[in-house]
Amino acid sequence: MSHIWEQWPQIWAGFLSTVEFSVIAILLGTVIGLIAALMKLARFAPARWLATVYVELFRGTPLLVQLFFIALGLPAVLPLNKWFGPQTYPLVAGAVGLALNEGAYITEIIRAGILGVDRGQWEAAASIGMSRYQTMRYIILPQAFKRMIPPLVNQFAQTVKDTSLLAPIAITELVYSAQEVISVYFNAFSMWLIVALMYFVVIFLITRLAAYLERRLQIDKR
Amino acid sequence: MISVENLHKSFGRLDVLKGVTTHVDPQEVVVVIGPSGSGKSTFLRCLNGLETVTSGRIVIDGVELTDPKVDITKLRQHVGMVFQRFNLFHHLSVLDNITIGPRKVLKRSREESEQLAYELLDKVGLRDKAHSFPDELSGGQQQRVAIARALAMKPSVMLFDEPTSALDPEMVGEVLQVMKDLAREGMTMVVVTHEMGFAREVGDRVLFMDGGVIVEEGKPQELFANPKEERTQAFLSKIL
Ligand SMILES: Nc1ncnc2c1ncn2[C@@H]1O[C@H](COP(=O)(O)OP(=O)(O)O)[C@@H](O)[C@H]1O
Ligand SMILES: [Mg+2]
Repeated sequence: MSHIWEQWPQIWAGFLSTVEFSVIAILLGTVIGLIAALMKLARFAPARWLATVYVELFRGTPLLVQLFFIALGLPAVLPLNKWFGPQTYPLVAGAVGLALNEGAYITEIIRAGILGVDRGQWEAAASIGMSRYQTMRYIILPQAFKRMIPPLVNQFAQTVKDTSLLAPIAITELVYSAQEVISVYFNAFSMWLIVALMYFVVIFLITRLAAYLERRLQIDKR
Repeated sequence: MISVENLHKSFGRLDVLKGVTTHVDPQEVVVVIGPSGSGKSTFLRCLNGLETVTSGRIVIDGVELTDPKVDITKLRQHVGMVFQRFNLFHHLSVLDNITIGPRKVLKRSREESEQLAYELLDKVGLRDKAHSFPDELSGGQQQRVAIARALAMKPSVMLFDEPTSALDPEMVGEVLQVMKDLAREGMTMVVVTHEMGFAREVGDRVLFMDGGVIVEEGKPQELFANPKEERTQAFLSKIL
């Protein structure tokens, strides 16, 4: 354990990278999820089909395969490494792949949240002359978001775990950094223990937040 | 004001409305009665386009609602609707429930909308609840707010679908009172209700619906005293 302080900067950098990818995937995934959820509920059938294909593809294949496909498969047929730069493209691929994957799950959470709002709310909004867009924006989404918060936060915790699959595409997040340190210092036990603890703290904080929000929303139902 | 010609509505293979023809004059209060499942709600919902009609014609204020080119969203602004289950917007205060239509649909300013909302709250006796949320109100209070919300759009017709059926008995009176005031002010109203007292007091005409058609119609006193059709007699003997 004496050399842990020498290794710490590298581990910390990996941890920060994990946090960064988590935040990007959560934000981007939520935007994608919202768009795909609205598409799934649209009256325009091709929009529904497109969103359904997206969700099924990304939920029906392993995340690791998706990441390999985007990071390594696509550049084999498209000059992506040239466009983005060979240093940058793997990072972009990692962030986008992760966001697309999370977005597929978030789509279903948001869709369920919207469908969970009582049909009477739609009808009341329609009866005062609101368009579908106005109804969604002012009546349905604000109510849907409240019921979506707990499952969304749980999905965010999942996202943090999923970032560990960025290591195989050579992104130096926490797991990758740990592997590098271990290859030099051969301290597998202590290093994986520390890595596990770091994930645990972040995920624990997020799930506590989810539980807290869930309780708050039950007390103040509006 | 409203004219309905040979209105048919089916859900899949279930024919719910089988040729409804009637009209409502300006300032008239029409009460619709009939057994559960006879199509009363479906009829009202067709009148403001919440259901698309299968065939037939509905004309409201000179606008043909059944014309596919008609902007139904626009038309709904003139047709207020009050639901059995109130359907207030749970995430908005009483004040915001009333102002959201004028503000977002009619693009009125907040000040103007709130002034109107307070006038309407006075009318339904709930000014002191302006900043409460729907879940903090009794059923009767919620229904009065729902009426104010509909009135805020300055509708030319108000539709009521069993507005007192979900209420505890002691709250029925306060809602009926608001509706009676409205009727006396000359609002055109179509009211589905089992409140025969209301029908007698302010109803100009009663429609008895059964099996998706209007079986009989007439002035409340006459229809209640001397129903001509057997089905009307059977129904009235059960509820009077
Ligand atoms: N959206 C719907 N889909 C299928 N059937 C419906 C729908 N709405 C109403 N119905 C059916 O239409 C019939 C009439 O319903 P309704 O108009 O609510 O009657 P009432 O208001 O007189 O009780 C009922 O048999 C009901 O089950
Ligand atoms: Mg009904």
